Amino acid sequence: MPFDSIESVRQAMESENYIADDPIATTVFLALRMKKPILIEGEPGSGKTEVAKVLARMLDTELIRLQCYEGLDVNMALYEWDYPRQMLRIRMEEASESSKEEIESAIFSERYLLERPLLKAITHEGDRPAVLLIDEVDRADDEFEGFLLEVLSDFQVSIPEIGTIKAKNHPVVCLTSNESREIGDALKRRCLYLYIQHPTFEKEYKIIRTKVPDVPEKLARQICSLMQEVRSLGLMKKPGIAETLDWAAALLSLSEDELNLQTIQRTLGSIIKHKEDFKKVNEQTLATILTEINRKKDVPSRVVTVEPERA
Amino acid sequence: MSQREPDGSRGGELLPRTLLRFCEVLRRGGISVSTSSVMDALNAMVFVDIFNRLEFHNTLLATLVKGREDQILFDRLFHTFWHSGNSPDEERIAILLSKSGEPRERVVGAGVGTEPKATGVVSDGTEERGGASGSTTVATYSPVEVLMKRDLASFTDDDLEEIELIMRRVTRDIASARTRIMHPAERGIMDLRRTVRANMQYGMELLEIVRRRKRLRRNRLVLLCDISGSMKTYSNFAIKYLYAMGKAFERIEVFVFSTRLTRVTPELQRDDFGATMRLLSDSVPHWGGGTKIGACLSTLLERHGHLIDRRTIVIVISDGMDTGEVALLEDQMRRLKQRSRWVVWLNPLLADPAYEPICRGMQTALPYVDTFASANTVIELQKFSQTLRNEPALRARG
Repeated sequence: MPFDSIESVRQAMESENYIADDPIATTVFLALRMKKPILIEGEPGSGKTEVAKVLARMLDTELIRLQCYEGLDVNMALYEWDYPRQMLRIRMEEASESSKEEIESAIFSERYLLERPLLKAITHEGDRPAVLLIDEVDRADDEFEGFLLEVLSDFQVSIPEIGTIKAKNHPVVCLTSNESREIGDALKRRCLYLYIQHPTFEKEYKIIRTKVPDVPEKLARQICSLMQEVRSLGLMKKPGIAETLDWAAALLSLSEDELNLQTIQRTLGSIIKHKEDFKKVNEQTLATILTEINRKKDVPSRVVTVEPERA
Repeated sequence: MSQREPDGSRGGELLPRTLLRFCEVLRRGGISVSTSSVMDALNAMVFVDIFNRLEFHNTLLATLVKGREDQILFDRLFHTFWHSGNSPDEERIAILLSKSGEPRERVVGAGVGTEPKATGVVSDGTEERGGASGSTTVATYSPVEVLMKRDLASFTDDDLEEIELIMRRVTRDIASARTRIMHPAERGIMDLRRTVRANMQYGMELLEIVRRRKRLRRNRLVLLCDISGSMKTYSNFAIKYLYAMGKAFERIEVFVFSTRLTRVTPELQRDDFGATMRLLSDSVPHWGGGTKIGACLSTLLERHGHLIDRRTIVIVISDGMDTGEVALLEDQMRRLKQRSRWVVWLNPLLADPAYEPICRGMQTALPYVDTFASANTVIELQKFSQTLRNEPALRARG
């Protein structure tokens, strides 16, 4: 295992352009070490899904994604028989006058098994385990959650016609949730828990500089200050880091090197995504924020997260 | 790292024991820590540098705390517990637990509020109850439970977000459900009967697979809230309730009524509670008047009739003190029941064990009500939602 310390995980993630703070790096490190799934919650656009993607790149392995939605069922998540092809095969076998047993063993073989994400993650070949991303698990029904528990606890699947398929390598599992409903306690118990907060000024600044490196330093700093302020306004939909990056890219393509009221208003659609919020983030509010930012130019804005004090 | 944190030797006795005590403290603070989480935390110790305070902290955070709500309290307890080099300072922890932030202080109030006698919404609902008596019981309550047991009438604005969260869970159950009957669908399990039938035309050559699945059925909620004079003591409660409901659930239509009926759905979709209040009092001119339930129901059925169909669950919040015509009320209740899927009547008075629905209006309406309950506290509300879920006619999960 190449990642023998939290720091090495953090660096590996950073070299994949993901700025991980201590809680993120620690949780990912522990997940790899203890072979436990991570349940990631956090505001939309805070980079939950990205963790899994980065993990896959970091481990140089395949990312298998299961997108959850209401009504997602076992057939779509695990496996399904390829009925039409089985039918054709039966016809062919019948024509060649095979016995019943022969037909049966022919059609119920892995050839006719359509692998869905979960089975794919279990049967994944290769020395390195796959990364399984179960995205927006809160959207699936609770029955599905129960089923997921079963799969996540022993990574094996029983297919009546074939038998039990067991994972050679336990996949690295990331589950994400947008908290549209409470995830069951049993599932939470199986997982390490990570809550990704909106980034601090420093973290966001670092992210912009990594992801959109062409943005001038000054602009990046202004963007971050403004985002911190905007998030404290109590909006319906607080802009996440994804919005920040969109906005930075938008400003860059307009070749702006400094924020001013007109520019902000022209590009506000990148970060504000709700009608009510537009009323709140009006010209006056923006002007106030902007003066404030320019006044205390170099003072980094307040730290939002509760950082444990270092001893 | 000069501090001697959890005592040294990794496989030693002391760390597990101290960690268990810490978990006990977390539990007393209301964070639910399962045994398997404790095992995880212990196992994780092997992989991290436990002399690095930050690493130690983050490791415990990732393994023991399974929700964002608990993180702040965890941080506080962590720093108090692992503060001094020697043994954790029990006294300081006790102090911290007894006053660790607002939510836990309210625990005490909640305990009192749920005693059957304190049916509480009534006038005394808003007064602060002293916290002194409860310092011993504090520890065993979880904050969610607290919030749920507190009378909705005494909620402060700060609680709104939390009520909204709970409400979102509750309404989700009521609102979306799967029918028990399987319907043809693109995906799902194979429908043998229909498959055979469909393939007859190909001479039983099975070319087409017909599938079926339980169809998602979305219920609509229509909420009618009484804001007449007799309900005045509850208006604080009712408004917050409405506000939270309106925000929690998109497919909800909200009306307030006294002598007239007013649709307030758009007003409730605001983000800002204060603004909502102002809007409501501006647009609803009949706060605190008399009650003409029958007439209001008739307005609802005629003018907003399209909202009431076999998928609509109608929730009436009222004490049933009607000053209108009894015959009209009865007629309209019958119509309402016929057209809707389910009629729920939430009567705040019902929380009082001594209450009997003898007033004329309530008596007239009662035969047409499918579920009669009180929902003054979120616990009651959840119980009520549970009743709806178990109702065969509404069967949430098929």
